[in-house]
Amino acid sequence: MTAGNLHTVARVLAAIAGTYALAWGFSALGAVAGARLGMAPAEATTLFGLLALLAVPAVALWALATRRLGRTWAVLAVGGVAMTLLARGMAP
Amino acid sequence: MSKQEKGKGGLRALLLWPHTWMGVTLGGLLVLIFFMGSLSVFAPEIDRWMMPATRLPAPTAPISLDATMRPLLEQLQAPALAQGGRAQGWMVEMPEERVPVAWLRVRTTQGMEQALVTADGRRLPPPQTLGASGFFYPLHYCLLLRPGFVGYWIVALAAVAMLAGLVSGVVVHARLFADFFTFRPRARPQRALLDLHNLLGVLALPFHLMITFTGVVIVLPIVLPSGVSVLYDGNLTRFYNEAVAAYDRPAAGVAAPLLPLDPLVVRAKAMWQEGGGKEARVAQVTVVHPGDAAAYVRVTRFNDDRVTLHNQPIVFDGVTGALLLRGAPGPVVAAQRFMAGLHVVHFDHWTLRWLYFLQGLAGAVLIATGLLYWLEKRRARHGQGLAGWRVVAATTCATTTGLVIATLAMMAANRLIPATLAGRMGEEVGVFFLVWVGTAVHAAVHLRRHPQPPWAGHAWAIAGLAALCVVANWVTTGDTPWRAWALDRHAVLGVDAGLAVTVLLAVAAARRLGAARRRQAAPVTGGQLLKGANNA
Repeated sequence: MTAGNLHTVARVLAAIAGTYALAWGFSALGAVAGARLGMAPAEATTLFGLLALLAVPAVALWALATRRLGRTWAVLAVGGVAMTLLARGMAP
Repeated sequence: MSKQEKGKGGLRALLLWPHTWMGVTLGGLLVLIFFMGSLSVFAPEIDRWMMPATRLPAPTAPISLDATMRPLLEQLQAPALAQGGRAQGWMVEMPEERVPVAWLRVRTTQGMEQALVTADGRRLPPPQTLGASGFFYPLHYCLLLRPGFVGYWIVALAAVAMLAGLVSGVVVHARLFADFFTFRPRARPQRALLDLHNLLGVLALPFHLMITFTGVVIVLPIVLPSGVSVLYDGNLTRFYNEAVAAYDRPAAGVAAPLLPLDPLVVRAKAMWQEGGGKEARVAQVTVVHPGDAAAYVRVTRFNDDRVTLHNQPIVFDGVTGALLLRGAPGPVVAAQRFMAGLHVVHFDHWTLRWLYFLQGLAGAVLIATGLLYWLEKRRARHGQGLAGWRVVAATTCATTTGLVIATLAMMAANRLIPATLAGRMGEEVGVFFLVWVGTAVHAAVHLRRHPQPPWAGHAWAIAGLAALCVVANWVTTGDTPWRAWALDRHAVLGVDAGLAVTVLLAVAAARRLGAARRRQAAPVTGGQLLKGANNA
């Protein structure tokens, strides 16, 4: 596999898996925070799922078009994992 | 793409690469989703066409559950009870204008039984077909891959790519207003394809954004179960029960007579009508643990008068009649239900149904023209000798004209294979997939010897099959347009009219394609003649 191909694979993976990780972390953290602040759990889950979905196409395009793929990967992976862990820690 | 290339055109150039490659890789799948979604708008009508026994007038008189449906439900569960089984649940899907038959389902410890009955309680033979609602519709939202929700995931991924494609498309084609008025059908194919791609993309942009977004919204808890994983330990059923206010309690194990159902339905209707509005119709009546002391009855409303999919379930105690639960979602879930309703267009509005259908088809054409434009451009740049080019060309052909051929072949099989044959349901599905694979193979073989996929041949096949469907319907059911008109069978008339329009369009396309091919072929022949003369 050439360097160019590898770069493309990393880019596509960032757009799919990286974006999904970020969306997962955001919606999990939002749901837990909403529930902690007194929203009904089903309401908080739905609200932050919808908000995440709104952002997903834009984030995926950013990952596909960005010039600095390494930074993008860092933001998506670190952001996704950190928010997911935080959500798990805060879960009731 | 190299760094220099990206640097030049700013955002437009940056987004062209994702726009192009999302289209090339997922375009075929998206055409399938858009085409089957468009057919699903008229699923009840296509169902009537594919299930002739259900071409019945809309029920006019109110239906008594106790007089007509309950004896049938008890009849359905009798064999299981005789074997020592226990009744677990009954479900009645009430008939309505577009689906003038009721489905009865009975669950016992011995298994499931179901029956199709008319509004006045006459049992119909099983339809022996999945129909549009059982085949085209699930193909649209889950590709018939239900285990592990695999199909939902694939469709959701394609939908997100569609959203990203729409957003990047707006950026890439920056001349939005000008594109609106630009279509040069007689320009060279590349130009005409791009014009049509831009025109449809702009014209139906609001619809495409709405339908794609709301489509993912419906399955969001399945494909992004993050909140469910932290707040419900990953238990999706518990989340749904809480979100849409479902009710459950175990059987008591003590026998007790079930109340008459009609008075409960009357009470539910009165509760829906509190605060004004027109009378809502009943969609489903479910009895859980019938004959048990813990029996409960769930009544949901039909949403033909409003957008939301929320069916306002009302649950009564089946023995005492006490109100157990009245489902009222919170504001966010209500918004989610509204978006779901916006997607599935169950509300009674024929103009909007047609707009959904046409704009859905426009979505399929938008993606197909994008694919064709890419193919033409690639050919101009690299020639068509590349195997990759031929794979995309054959796939594009199979997922556009091939898909239409497979759909029509299935409908023709539905009319030509007798419904009395036990395995017809599976045979229809088999015909669909065999023909579909056949079109792909045909396109691939054709492309080894020809510069273009077999468009003209496929167009003739579409015309022939659509005509065959219409004639087969007349012959096998006797529902000629005159008779269908006289009997008010508008669904049959509509599907036949749609097929007839398909014939006309396909013949026109095939003739134009043939003429274009002859024009292209003529100079080549002349050149060969000259060359031959020189050699001689």
